Amino acid sequence: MIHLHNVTLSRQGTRGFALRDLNLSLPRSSFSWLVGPSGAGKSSLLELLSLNTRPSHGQMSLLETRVDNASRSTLRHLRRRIGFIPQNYRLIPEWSIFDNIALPLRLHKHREADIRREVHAILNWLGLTQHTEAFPPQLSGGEQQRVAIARALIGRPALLIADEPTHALGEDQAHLLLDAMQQLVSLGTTVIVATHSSTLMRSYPAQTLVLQDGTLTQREGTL
Amino acid sequence: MSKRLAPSFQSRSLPLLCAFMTILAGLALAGLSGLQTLENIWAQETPNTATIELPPDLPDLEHQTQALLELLNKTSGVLHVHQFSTEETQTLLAPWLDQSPSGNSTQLPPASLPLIITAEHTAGTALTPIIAAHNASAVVEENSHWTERLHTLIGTLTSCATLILAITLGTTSLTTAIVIRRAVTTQRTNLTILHGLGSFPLTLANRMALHAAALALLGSFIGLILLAPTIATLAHALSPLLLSSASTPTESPAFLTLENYTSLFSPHFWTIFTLPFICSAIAWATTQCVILIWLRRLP
Repeated sequence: MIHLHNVTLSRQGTRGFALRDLNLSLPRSSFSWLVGPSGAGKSSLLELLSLNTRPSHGQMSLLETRVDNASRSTLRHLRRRIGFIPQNYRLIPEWSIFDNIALPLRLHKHREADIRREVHAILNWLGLTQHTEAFPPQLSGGEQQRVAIARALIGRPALLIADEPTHALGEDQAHLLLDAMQQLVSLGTTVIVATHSSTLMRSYPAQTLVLQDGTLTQREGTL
Repeated sequence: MSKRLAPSFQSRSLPLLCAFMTILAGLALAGLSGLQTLENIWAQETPNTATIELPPDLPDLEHQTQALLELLNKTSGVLHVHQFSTEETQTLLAPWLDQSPSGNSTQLPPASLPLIITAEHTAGTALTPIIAAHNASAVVEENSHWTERLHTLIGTLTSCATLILAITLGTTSLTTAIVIRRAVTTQRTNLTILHGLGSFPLTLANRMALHAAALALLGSFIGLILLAPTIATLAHALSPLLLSSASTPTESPAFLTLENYTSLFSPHFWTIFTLPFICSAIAWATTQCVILIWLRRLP
């Protein structure tokens, strides 16, 4: 599912490395925590796995496809199978919450009636029904995070990557999200979640990837 | 609920820019058309005429005149020969003699008047050397010289108008590109988000290009509306020169019909109405290029 062999990622504009000689293999239907101190390279690894950047060196395969030398078209198709919850949400401020969440389905050319049904279902699940026609800047940080979660989950991705997805959520909502992620894993999705919350990690024990100075130093535990 | 797949293109300066550029291009095009119409009319209506003057003190003037008339009538390419009467010569010379053509108080005696013959001929017939070989004292004035000079003048002005038009179109493309690039920059984050979700670059470029084209079309139409009174004024001013050869330069019709306008600016009249579409096409193509080139930088 995910295979990284001696992957290095250079920092833009500097001679330093964000990630160095990274080796990682994750199977399908797995859940992993990604931890490490600030500046360790967690966000860089997640950007790499969500195909927002390419490795500087090394081999990388995602969803059974070699990506380090893949064409733009291949990367584009892979991106549609990846759900990414970034730390800064990356919502389009001029679009309504509905349009933001509906985007992955529209890119998959789903019927508009199906899109409406799916979006309303996920908005209902995340308690955002009253904000359907609102715009992201009108929502609180926690609500925006839930919109980002909805957008990442609605396309039922084969790979779900989340960068601190619960930092603006309450405890109940965090558990709701983690439960949903466990369900996705049981349906075949591979999930990687970067977090600083040891409480959550204790509640949902799983394989933990520890990043230190751009290097994967430790792998512990299993789902 | 709108079906959104790409960010909208927002720019206040693009319609304004297109309006100004349409006015500039329209004026250059109208000027170019007017000049070309003028050139065509003059080319068609100005006859090739040679005016031959025999001095009054020439010995055996009557015989020499008859010989010259016979020579002109026999020369191929000469269409019509006319010898001026004394009255016609008096009238012709009146402005130089500071006399009213109808006044006869201080008329010159016929014996001191030059003898004038006009010969209309086909284009390309060179009468000057023929007449000079026959009678060295005859002075020949070909009006085709002036027609050629006017053609040269109009040709120069036409080149200037064409150059202005080309510069206007070039400037439009360049400034449109700058304005569009600035507008795209404001949408860079959104484009990056959409790219990250797997959007097709062509879908993004097409949708934004359509918005840009619509804005350019709107601005350009406004420019065309603003241009109309200027064109009408210009047409009104030029109409005595262009509408009919029978009109004198001081005559100006009170009202010009659409037919008048089309005949005045005939070579490019309808091209003026294509300016909004040209502006729109420039905006569409520029937006496509700017977005596609920018998206190429992303992985």
